[in-house]
Amino acid sequence: MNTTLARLDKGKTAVIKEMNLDNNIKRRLMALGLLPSSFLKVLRIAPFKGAILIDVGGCPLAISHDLAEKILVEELE
Amino acid sequence: MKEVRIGLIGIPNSGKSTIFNKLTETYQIVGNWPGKTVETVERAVKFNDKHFILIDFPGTQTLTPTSMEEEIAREYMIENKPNVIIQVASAIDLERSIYLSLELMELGIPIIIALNQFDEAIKQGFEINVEKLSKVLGVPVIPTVAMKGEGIDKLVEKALDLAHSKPKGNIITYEDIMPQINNIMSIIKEFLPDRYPLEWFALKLLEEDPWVTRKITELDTEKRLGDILEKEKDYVKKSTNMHPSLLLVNNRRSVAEKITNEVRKIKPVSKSKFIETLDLLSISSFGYLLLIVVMTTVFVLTFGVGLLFRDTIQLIFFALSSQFVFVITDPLLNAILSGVQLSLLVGLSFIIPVVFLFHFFFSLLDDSGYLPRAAFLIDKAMRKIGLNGKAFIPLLLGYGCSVPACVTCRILEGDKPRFVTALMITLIPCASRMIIIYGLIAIYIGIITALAIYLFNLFVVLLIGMVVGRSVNLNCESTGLIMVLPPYRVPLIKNALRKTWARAKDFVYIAIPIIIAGTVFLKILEILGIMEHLNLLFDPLFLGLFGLPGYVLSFLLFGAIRKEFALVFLVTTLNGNPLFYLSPNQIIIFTLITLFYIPCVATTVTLIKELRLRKTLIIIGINLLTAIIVGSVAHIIFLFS
Ligand SMILES: Nc1nc2c(ncn2[C@@H]2O[C@H](COP(=O)(O)OP(=O)(O)OP(=O)(O)O)[C@@H](O)[C@H]2O)c(=O)[nH]1
Ligand SMILES: [Mg+2]
Repeated sequence: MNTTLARLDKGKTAVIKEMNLDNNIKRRLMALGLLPSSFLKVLRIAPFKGAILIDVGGCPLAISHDLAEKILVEELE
Repeated sequence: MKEVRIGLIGIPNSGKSTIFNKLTETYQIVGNWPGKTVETVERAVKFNDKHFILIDFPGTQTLTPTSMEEEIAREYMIENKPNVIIQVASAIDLERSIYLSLELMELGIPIIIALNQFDEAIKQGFEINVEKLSKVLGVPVIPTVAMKGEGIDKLVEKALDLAHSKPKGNIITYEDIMPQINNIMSIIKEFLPDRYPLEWFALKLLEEDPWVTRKITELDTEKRLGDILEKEKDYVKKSTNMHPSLLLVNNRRSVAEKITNEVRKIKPVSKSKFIETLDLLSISSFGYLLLIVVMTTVFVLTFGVGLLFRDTIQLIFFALSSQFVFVITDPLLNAILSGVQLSLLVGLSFIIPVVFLFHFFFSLLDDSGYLPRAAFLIDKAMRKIGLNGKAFIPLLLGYGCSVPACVTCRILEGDKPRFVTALMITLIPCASRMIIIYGLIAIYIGIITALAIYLFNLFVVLLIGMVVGRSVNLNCESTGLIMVLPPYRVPLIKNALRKTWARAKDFVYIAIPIIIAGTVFLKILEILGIMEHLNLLFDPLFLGLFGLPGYVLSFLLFGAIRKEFALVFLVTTLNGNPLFYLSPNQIIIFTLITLFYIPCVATTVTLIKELRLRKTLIIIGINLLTAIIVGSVAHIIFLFS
């Protein structure tokens, strides 16, 4: 199912499809392991739709909700 | 022969400064959050009879900077090239470390990898095949545990051996676009000085790195590159369907991932239940409560234990000083002696306990890994102001001292976020202002009022952050939080004590001597009757605005040098007990004014260095205005209540 990273529930895994962000941010996220076709797992979501903690590449990464909204993913069962 | 220069380079929080401290016997701040070191530091080291120079770098996630401390690190690497790089890799963040290795190899400097935090990798169930990693990358890899010094000897020996060897060179081949890279290389080769890494410059040009592009434009005086770069980039875009910068990142990324999977096995391990629960709690909705509890505990402990200390210290002090009773008739000498005595008493009973206790408790917190979690939790609220969660870290540091906190703003992306955060930091009560809150409010009015003052201050800081953030259009420039979260670590008392001393020693070496001199000076002014003139001059203004006597101006002036002076000289001038001269309401108004009125000299100098004069003046203006508004509003409220 296609959705955004921001809408994934805690504990869900997904694969990244597309990132609608400007090149600088995209480059940084890619270097950190977040790029189309990589797998991720949502570890935690800060309260009130806050920042999201994801597991990617074996070490947790925190990203803001508004960035996560621009990352399209396919949720895996 | 020139001494070998060895650079410690690695992703944030990998343990560079821990290794640096071990080898140099100096102290660079170590803690458990990314972004502590924000400046390069070089020190001469003598190690097993060998001399060399060691350089501690700020952490760099990649060699394409997104924040200032990364820019500083990267520029230093290129302009003041070390002879050897010790890449301090993190064994618990292997993939990102290898990504950086791949980038560092493009620099053409011999590299050795310290696979640090190896103990934690084992605990987390990561089995890393070190030999294989070394073979795949083609560089020596030494597993290390920096705090315990494990592997450091071997690391340094190997690094020194490497100093005069040839660098291994790039292991990635950017096959699809090699002709383009070669073409650019052949052109820039004609004007690029030898000391710069040729291939790296070509790659960074394709990546559209602003600093490299600027550098090349400067060097390319005959405009040889012309529009060739654009053509090559267009070609890459067309043929690969990807922007060249993303293409390069993608290539390195997939190599890093492949290598990681080859050398690392993950075994399931049972994690500590306590840490797991703590981790869960600290970033759930319960976390907000925890944040309040944690910060309140730090303040209450500091004030509470400080009060205990104060009584004991005063008892000892009076017992001692009653042993030395002199009858002195000369008024000048008398002024000097009583000034020295009084200021020593104040120094020992007000300043030392509070400052040391606060920094000690805060150091424990900062070593535990709580700060980045607080940043994660608060990100949403900070996004509302237009900042991101990372800005919360320098703000928290501001409760210790504004100077390093303002410097730490370098970890934020963009000039506007740095400006707004620095402004907020200047308004946050640092340890010096904590001494004022303690010395006037906690002692004479009560700890609850002291806490209320912190809360009120926080409200004002957020309000100003929001208003100023809106008016400079912070949102347009600010990016969201992107931060690697380190694991919780058990803080070591020894490390915390060392950090406490590093952060608090200025109060002993700098503040106390000035306090003694200043008190004597004020006593002399008093004898000469100059104080009264000053008072008469400023009484109308201060009484009218704040309901305070004019003489407080002289304390505020001293407070501009170091904030705690405002309290110290108030107490020493009023002979120990301000309550004889000022009402509780006046004390509260005075304290509120000291919180906001002006950044101290050291902070001002730092602000000018970090943000330039214009922004510093704006910050000073906002500080003054805030103090006047807060002070006079409080005065009015007290008048009518
Ligand atoms: N368990 C363990 N912890 C380590 C090791 N080396 C460093 N640490 C901890 O890792 C954290 C970061 O260490 P620093 O030396 O400050 O890291 P740094 O690379 O200088 O960090 P930045 O300057 O922020 O980039 C601290 O909490 C250290 O105590 C290690 O080998 N094992
Ligand atoms: Mg460091």
